[in-house]
Amino acid sequence: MSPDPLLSLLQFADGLFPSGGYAHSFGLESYVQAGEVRDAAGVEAFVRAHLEGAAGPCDAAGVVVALALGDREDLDGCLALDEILEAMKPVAEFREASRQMGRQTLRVAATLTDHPVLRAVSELAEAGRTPGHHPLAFGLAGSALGWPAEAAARAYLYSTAALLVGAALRLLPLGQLDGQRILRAAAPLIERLAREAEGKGPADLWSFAPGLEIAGMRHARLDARLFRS
Amino acid sequence: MLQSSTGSAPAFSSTPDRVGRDGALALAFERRGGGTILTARRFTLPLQALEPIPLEADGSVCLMLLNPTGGVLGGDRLESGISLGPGAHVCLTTPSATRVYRALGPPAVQDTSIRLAAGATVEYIPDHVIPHPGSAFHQSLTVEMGPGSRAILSDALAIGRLAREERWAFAEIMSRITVTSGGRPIFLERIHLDPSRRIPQGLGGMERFGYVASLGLFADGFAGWEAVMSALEARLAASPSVLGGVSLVARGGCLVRFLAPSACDLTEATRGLWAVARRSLLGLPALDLRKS
Repeated sequence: MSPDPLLSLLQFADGLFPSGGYAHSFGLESYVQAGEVRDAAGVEAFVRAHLEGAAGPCDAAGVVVALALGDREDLDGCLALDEILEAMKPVAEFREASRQMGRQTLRVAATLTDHPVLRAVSELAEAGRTPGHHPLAFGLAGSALGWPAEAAARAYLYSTAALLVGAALRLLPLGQLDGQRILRAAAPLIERLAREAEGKGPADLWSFAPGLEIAGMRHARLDARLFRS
Repeated sequence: MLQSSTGSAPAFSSTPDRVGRDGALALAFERRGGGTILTARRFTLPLQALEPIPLEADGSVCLMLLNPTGGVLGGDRLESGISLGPGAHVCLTTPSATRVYRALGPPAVQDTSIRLAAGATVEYIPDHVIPHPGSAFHQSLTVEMGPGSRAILSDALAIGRLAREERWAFAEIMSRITVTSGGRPIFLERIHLDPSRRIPQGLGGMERFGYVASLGLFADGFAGWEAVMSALEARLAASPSVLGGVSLVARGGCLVRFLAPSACDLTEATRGLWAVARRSLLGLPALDLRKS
């Protein structure tokens, strides 16, 4: 168990953490190419929609569920949660992004910690026997490193917002200061969504973001792409 | 050959603090000779199902599920169970949109479950749901896929009575679609809309449209998804008023998600996409249901 959960939480939520998230825009590239997101206000609306419609009620809730399952050393529960996440992500590119980021997170966490369920899930994901979605991986890392559930959900949502803002800075002529303003503006929403994620069970996960999903579906057909989603 | 058909008056709840009707519908279909026949039909009002109509020479039947008279009311609990035997092929539809009225107490609940035996095919194409002001609606659709079975599932929702310029005036909508194969989920959709907390009308949500729809195509053991998806994408491109996309789902299926500006555009796009789905997945021509 880590002596300081805050430091390990910062490490796993940091942009330096090798999750591979930098390769994904989660539909933003489609919006930018269509001319529908072109400035800081558009990016802010996009980040909000992503957090409120999908990352909060589905993924951050998944982090909280996974953390509790890890604490109970419930491997079957973790694999069932992974199946739910897989079936709840209808956009192939988003699903692949979550699997890729999850496997990377599991790899690092399995190296740095000693947690039987995390190790088992990591091995099954490496063998292609479970998808290894990012919320499951992040929640299990939290179980291994002693993160409080709400803090884990906040950190997950913050790192999601930072990933999206990072993609926006590469797709649009925005300054670093714009990016920091957008992240700061998302803070109250992140706090609310993390609070709402607490105490959720696997049957409580939901999402509603048809516009984002359609943008993600259409991304696969864009002629020139900088991002993998 | 058993063919029973019974209907009875609505069973009002005996719990004094609960208003609403308990409606149940049970249908069973089997493949006999070259066709599909209805082998059991039981219902309690407000749920009803008409006589099945044989379709063409492909051995399928179409059956109209009647919407509850006067719409779905708060407190209603409507439960439908539909079972298809090996090789049976059924198309289920409704005569009109499902209206959900204001709920003063508990939400209206509508649960539909469809079980597909080996090689069975279901096309579930109900009209869209229209939530009235103050309505609360919990709906679920569960489909269990058998070996070699196929399903085409449509689901659509208006965000209010758009003809009256009314949007997001309902109290709550929870909608779940669960498609499983061998006891494992292959597609899960879980939507929760609560306009008092959040109105996802803009970017990323409804993109300013009034109707959201999905057409899910699932087939156990089918390998030609790329061609199906290309055909669906071409059909979407032919309806410039709707915004949509197509993607492979986790296992054995693909999903079309689209947004439409009007009921007319929604109906036209659904019919067109369904026709493409029939042709590319089932190898059958389009059905014309001739609804008014």
